[in-house]
Amino acid sequence: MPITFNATSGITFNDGSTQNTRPAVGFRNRIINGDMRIDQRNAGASQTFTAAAALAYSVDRFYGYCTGANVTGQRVAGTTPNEFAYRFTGAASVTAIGFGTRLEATNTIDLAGSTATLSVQLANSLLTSVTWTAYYASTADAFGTLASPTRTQIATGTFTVTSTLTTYSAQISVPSAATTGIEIVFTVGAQTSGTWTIDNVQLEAGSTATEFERRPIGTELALCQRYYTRLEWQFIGYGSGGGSVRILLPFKQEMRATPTSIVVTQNPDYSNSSSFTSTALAAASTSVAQATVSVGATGQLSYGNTTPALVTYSAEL
Amino acid sequence: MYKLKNDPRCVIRIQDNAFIPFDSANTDYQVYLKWVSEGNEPLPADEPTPAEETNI
Repeated sequence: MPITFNATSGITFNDGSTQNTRPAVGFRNRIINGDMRIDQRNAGASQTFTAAAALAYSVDRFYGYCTGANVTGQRVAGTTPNEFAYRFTGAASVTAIGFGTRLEATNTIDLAGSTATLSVQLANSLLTSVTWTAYYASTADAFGTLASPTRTQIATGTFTVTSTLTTYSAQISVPSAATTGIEIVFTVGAQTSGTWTIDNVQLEAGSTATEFERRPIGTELALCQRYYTRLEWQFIGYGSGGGSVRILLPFKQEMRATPTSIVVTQNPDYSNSSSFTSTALAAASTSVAQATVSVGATGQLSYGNTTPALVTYSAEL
Repeated sequence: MYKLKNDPRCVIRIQDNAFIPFDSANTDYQVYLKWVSEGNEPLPADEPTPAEETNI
């Protein structure tokens, strides 16, 4: 079939596909990690979401929550051609599960006053309704907490789903006031058993749901590391008794804000242990992490020879 | 619950020992500020360690 041009239906290619609007090029998906590939926190392991607790981040850039009873969720193998998907497993007494992502104002401000299209792949082995809701933050990048949200609803709708992973889409009229960042949340009700699978979340400008954009893994990881990253601390040096040693490590990406840091493992092997009277591992800025070590006695310091201290840094929205 | 630290740049969230920087763009700090605005007070800081005394 030849390529045809038509004033109404646009371009029809010889494989039968059509293009009736301006073609969208790369980076059209505003959702980061929409295909759930990046899972820095759990690396595919199961995560328990505590009922009525605060939002808990799971795969990169996505959070979950639940009410009624705890649920578990984890990155799972996807359905061809998807490498991964995210899946919640229901439990007795569960009354609701939510799964969402928050997008920075600087990455969505151009959508204000226009039409955007949300698409997602969903499957549920128990329930037949998945609700989607779009919000914008009350002030730039500040959506509040689950208990005290600071956001305004843009639109909501329901997808009727089955146990087969299927693509759904919805058009969203983004108000001109939505210059402060956008949040997309998917929710289900009483998932008292069975599973709920989510994949290939995409939000793009325009009124057409295009094919899911697959970005290179290095690119997607770098996008995620603006919001969450991990550093392993390991160093050898010489300290003067009564003094301190400071080490700085640049983050892999400039972070969105000075991040919250949590020391996950700080029990490394170290020599001259009496020299280590304390360590302080924290972020100094959006670009640099810092470790400060007190030195008790003059001598060589060896920290984390075989087991580095692992510190996580979060600047999530 | 939070605890002050001998570092004017951060506070500790006790439940997970997180170091929360005083950055208005940090959402954990925003939650801390709301907690304080509700009349809560963080625990006082421990005696400073040598590293903290030299921390700038």
